Amino acid sequence: MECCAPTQTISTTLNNIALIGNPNVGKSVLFHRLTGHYVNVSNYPGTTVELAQGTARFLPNVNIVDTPGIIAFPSRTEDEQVTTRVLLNRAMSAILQVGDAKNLRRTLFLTVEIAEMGMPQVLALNMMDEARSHGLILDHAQLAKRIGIQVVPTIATRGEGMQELIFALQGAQAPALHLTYPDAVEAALSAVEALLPCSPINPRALGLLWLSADRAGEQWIRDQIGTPDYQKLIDIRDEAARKSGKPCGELIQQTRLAFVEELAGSALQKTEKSSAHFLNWLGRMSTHPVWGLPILVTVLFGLYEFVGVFGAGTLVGLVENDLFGGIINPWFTGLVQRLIPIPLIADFFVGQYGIWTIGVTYAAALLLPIVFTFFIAFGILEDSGYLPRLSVLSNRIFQKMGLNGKAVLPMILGLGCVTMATMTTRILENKRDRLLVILLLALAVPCSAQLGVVLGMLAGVSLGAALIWSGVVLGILMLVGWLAARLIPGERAPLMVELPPLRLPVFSNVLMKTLARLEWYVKEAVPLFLFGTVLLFLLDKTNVLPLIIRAGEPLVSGWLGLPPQTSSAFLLGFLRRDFAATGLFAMQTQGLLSPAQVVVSIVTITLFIPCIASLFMIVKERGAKTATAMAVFIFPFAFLVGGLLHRVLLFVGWGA
Amino acid sequence: MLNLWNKTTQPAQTWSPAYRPARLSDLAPGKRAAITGFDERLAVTQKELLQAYGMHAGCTVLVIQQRPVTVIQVEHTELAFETEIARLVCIQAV
Repeated sequence: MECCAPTQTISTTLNNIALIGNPNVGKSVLFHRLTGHYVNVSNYPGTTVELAQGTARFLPNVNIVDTPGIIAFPSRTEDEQVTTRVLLNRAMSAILQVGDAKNLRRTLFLTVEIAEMGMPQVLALNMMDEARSHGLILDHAQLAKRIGIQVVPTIATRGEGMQELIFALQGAQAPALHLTYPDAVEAALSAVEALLPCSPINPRALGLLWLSADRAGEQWIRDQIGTPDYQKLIDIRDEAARKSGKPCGELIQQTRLAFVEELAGSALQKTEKSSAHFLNWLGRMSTHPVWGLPILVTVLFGLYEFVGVFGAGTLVGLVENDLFGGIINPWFTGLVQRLIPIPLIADFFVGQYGIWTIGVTYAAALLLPIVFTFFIAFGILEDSGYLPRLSVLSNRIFQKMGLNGKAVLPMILGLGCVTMATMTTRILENKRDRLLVILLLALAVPCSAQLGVVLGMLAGVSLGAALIWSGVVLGILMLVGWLAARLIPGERAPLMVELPPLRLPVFSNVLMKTLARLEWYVKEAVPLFLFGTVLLFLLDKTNVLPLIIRAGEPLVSGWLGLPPQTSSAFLLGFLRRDFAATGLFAMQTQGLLSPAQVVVSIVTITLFIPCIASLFMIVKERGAKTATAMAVFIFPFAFLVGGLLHRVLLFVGWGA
Repeated sequence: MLNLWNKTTQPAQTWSPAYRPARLSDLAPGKRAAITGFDERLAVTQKELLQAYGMHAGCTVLVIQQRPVTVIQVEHTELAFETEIARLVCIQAV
């Protein structure tokens, strides 16, 4: 198939270079070094789930494509399949494989698979510092000679080896590696190559993908050829498996493993240098069944102090009360009232439900300091490699809710901002798990702004009130999780997660990540927030808002046993739960709520959907139908739990 | 040349539930074992994933902990997975 012949060297006109490698080996850091474009970089597998592209700074006319990490072909997960599709759909001038030097066998296994594709290839053996700290000595010249590609040792985080890498890419050659597989596989390969369509990769490599049952490869082939030929391909693969007594993929893997083992043995030496140091020890302790818990408590306490006390307390006080409340808002209100004589339009900006009074003030003065501190804290945790370790500690709890420990990541994010956490459910394995976590986030995970107000209210009552509130909310979380796991179809995915080494966070990376997330917050969350405010303004001006408040009074007073004016707080709770909590806090300070009413009201509001922005995010992630179903369940359920709690507290005679 | 992991790539064995060789879940933390194969009850996707991480027949793994989940080291990769999976990985202590 001449049409399938791969390009042998980088041409000045063909200019796509794909960055490919195992998860968490530094592809995105290298991408940043080569292009100057920042993509999210973290110390856990699965940070990149979509493609990123950028023009290379030191290679003219070259476009670098950063791909999601792939452990090996055949691709298994949705993000791995993105990488397979890129190779099959786009002609690449070269492949830059990024490999973890200390995990040489895993790296070389992928190297061999890429080399068989026949495209110009360069291997960046990254994390050489960590390999050396483990006492590993790598003979990269030997590897280069055996595979027929350039192999460049790098430490991407420090920029070491970048110049050599650029030179290597300019002279990248296609390797001439040819592995001979067992007879059954070779016979099947000869048969399928005649039926396979042209692709940017070597026909033999496409045949190997097919025989290994790569899902993305199968789909691509199916889209290219007719049903009769596709059926023939299936028959050839099945026949080969029948003859050899095992799937072709297993035979292919064994051949590659044998070659890689011999190759690694010839290029790898280990000295007696000990790799034990404090971070290794801390990493082990952080997943220990006993010592892991005090470490977790320390981390959570640090998070609470930085985000809850410093961010939500000190910074919000400075920005909201002093800056906006004392200076900016009085000046802006006066300015608008002077310049705009029409009351309706002036109210639109600075009235009770004005986009400046509510939208801008709360987005910039209340939420921004909290999310800013949370993004910093979360960036540090991401960079350290600690977060995947929480999956180990929390797995048993999530198991009871039909999930696995990976769900802890979006749950923790939800304590900062449920809207953002809803997006991060993408890291979970299957749709069922993502749906379950989104439901639990929307129902019972309070965001930091609300948590601050709630804790303030509870502190004004008693420790018993705090225990009742936390007990009910956690109980609901567990109960709904347990029930939903049994109702939502699909099987629970068992936990299997790679634990990256603990590392000291890199300041510049945490800063870049925080700024990138703040940009996301301003671009995506703030517009939704302003839209919600405008909606509230229109309801107020059309006199629908007072009607809604009056209609809610029987429910609020009759069922929940709260004062009638609580209705307006609950209505604001649809916009943002923390607005409602603030209104309730004001009522408490005026002595309008008994201890029992405080507990009932904040339990009810905690179980509301967090904010209108998070509802829109659920629409974006799971569709309008799912979002509507969740809203229809959550709001009545919140009132149901609140009312039942009111009756239980009445029955036991607590806080009347 | 020092061979660190004493690996040989052997065809993976698949054991029937009736015969029960030693399992990864039996091994105490701090002990090493060679993988000999996988129980046939292990889901294909999980088996493939373990193999992709380097846990194939012939390779040696170090058990770091068994509770609350199994954590092992293969080459310089640390993997955590549920004990139910470890029970389906057949080993020979080294």
